[in-house]
Amino acid sequence: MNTFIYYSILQALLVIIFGILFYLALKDLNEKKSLILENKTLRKEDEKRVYELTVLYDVSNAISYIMDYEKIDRLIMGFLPKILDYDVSTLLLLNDKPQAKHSGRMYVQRLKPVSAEFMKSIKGIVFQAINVLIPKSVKEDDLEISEVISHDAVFDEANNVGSFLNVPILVKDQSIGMLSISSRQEKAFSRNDLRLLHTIANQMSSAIQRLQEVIAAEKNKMDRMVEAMVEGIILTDEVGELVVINPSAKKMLGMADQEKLDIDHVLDHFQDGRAKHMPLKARAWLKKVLSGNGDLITKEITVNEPTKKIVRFDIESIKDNDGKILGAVTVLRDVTQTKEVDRMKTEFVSTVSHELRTPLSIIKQGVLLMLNGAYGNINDNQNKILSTSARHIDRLTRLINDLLDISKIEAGKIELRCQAFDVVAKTSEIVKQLQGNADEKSISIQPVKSSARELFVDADPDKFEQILTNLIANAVKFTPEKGRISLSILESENSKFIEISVADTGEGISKADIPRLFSKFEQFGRVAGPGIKGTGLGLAISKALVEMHGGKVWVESELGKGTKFTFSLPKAKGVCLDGKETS
Amino acid sequence: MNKKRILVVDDEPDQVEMIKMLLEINNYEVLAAYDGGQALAKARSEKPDLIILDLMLPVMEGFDVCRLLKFDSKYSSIPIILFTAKASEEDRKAGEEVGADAYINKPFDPDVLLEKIKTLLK
Repeated sequence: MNTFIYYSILQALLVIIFGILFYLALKDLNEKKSLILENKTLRKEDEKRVYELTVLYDVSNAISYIMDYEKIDRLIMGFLPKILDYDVSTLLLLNDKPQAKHSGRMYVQRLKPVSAEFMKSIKGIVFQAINVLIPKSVKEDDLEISEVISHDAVFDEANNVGSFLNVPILVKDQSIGMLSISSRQEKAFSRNDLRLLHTIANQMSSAIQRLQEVIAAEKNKMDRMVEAMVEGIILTDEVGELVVINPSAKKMLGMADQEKLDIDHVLDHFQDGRAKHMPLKARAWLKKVLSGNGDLITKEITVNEPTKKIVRFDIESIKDNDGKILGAVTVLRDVTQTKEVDRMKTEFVSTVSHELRTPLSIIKQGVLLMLNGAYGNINDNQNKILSTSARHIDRLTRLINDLLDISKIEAGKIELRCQAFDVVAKTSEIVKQLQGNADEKSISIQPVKSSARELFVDADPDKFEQILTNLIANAVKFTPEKGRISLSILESENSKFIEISVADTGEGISKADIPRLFSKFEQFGRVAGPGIKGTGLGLAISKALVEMHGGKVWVESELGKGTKFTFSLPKAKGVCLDGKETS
Repeated sequence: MNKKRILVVDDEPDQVEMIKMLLEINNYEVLAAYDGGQALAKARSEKPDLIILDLMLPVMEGFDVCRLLKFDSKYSSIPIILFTAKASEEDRKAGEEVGADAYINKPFDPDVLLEKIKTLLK
């Protein structure tokens, strides 16, 4: 009996225990089920966070390589739709240094079609917000507005702003702009969206701040360089406002350190005791360069007291890659000392040549007196010695004259006395004078060929004679005996110049030698015959003289056939430069 | 026929001597002066037929000698040839302004000088 009772109790206990266990197991299962569900939601949230973080990481990565404000703006606007869901976003940024009124830029991005009314209220909200942040009023008209991604606005469907988020963009605790997103739906944005927008705005802030620092550091480096330069630098922007003037420029122009700095005031210091209205002229030159009429203008002024310096300056336009003019830079150089050295050089050459002339003169007269038999007949050998001496006295004289000429030309001291004269008659006259030299070598100088009986040039007759004499004398020198020299005078194709040519039947000049022909002291292995060597300055002087008249010299030559020199002078009534203006 | 008298002025005695030889052989009588003061005094006392005058002279410059003579009616008829080693345009112009009759550069060709003298003495 006892055994039965025990057994029954045991059975009942087992049932109870199993029941409890079953209940527990069932309960556990249910709990697990709900945990799995919860996990799923959580994982989705995590994925979204990870995605957002990746995008933000990409933004910060990309933004750190950008060195241009506008590119930063566009990058941000491009990333925004990737992590936020909205209809319209706006980005408003004010320029670095607000002056009287704010200027800046604004981007409007429409991802979905919205009505014009919607756009209007969005802008209203943005401007209201920014004007709360920045006490001075910011007006839409002062901003440059561009649309980034655009959908046509739907005008008939009236939709109002349901929700919006505005976050300021701060640089060094100062608001410099505003980033906003908006939607037609109400309660469209979560707390997380606001956090994201803040993060993006912060990234933008730090990128702008970094860029500002980089630019400031570069500018500082540049300013130091410009300040340390010996040359004077005056930099203006595209409308001619002063950007930079360095201490050297101020010193050269005689400006005190504390003087006010605007372009008019700086230009007022372009005073030249010898030229009137210099500031006005300087202003006109600057304007000319800024308007694109002339890339470079070079002038020289003698600055008034107290500096009394001779300053040479170049005004040059600054252009971007597309050729758009961004401003102008004026570089000033103090050439007082160079000028003084030049003056001393000229004076030295002039003194030396003067000192050489007097003894030469005495020798020449003595030699010629004897040679002409003033004191009795001389024999052939005496004659030979004396004539050779006489020729070399002449050579020395020419050398001195040429040296004097070249030093005057280099110092810009030659003045042209231009007048209209008939170049045909003058040429015949010069040919007559040189006929003797040609006869000695039995060279025939052909009658002058000209396109008209009379051709008038506007030139200095003495200089013309010097040039033509030099060319004919060269031709005589380099033409073998019984050769031929021909001269022609023609009007240039554009009728602005008269071209005078001297052609010989000499050896010719090789192509390689032609470029050096007009340099100083160049003498070529041209067979010059038994005559006397030249000074090597003739062609250099001729070229300089022709160019002072505004003409050109050129040469055509063929080895074995001959050489033809041509120079052009302005036809009468043309412009004859006075030789001093070197612009 | 009376020999024409020419006053030669140069601070370089050798130059004066050489011109003197040239002129004497061509039948002129030569007077010499070596500075501006002497030149002026001799021109006034001797009244030569022609003066050859260097520009750079001690005491008084050639230009001044020329001006003083040319602006004095008693002597203005005496022809003056200026000669100089400074062949500059300005000097030539200045020479014209002070009334010189001819202007030649050093070193000069004796024939050119003789030709000028001949023309001026006609």
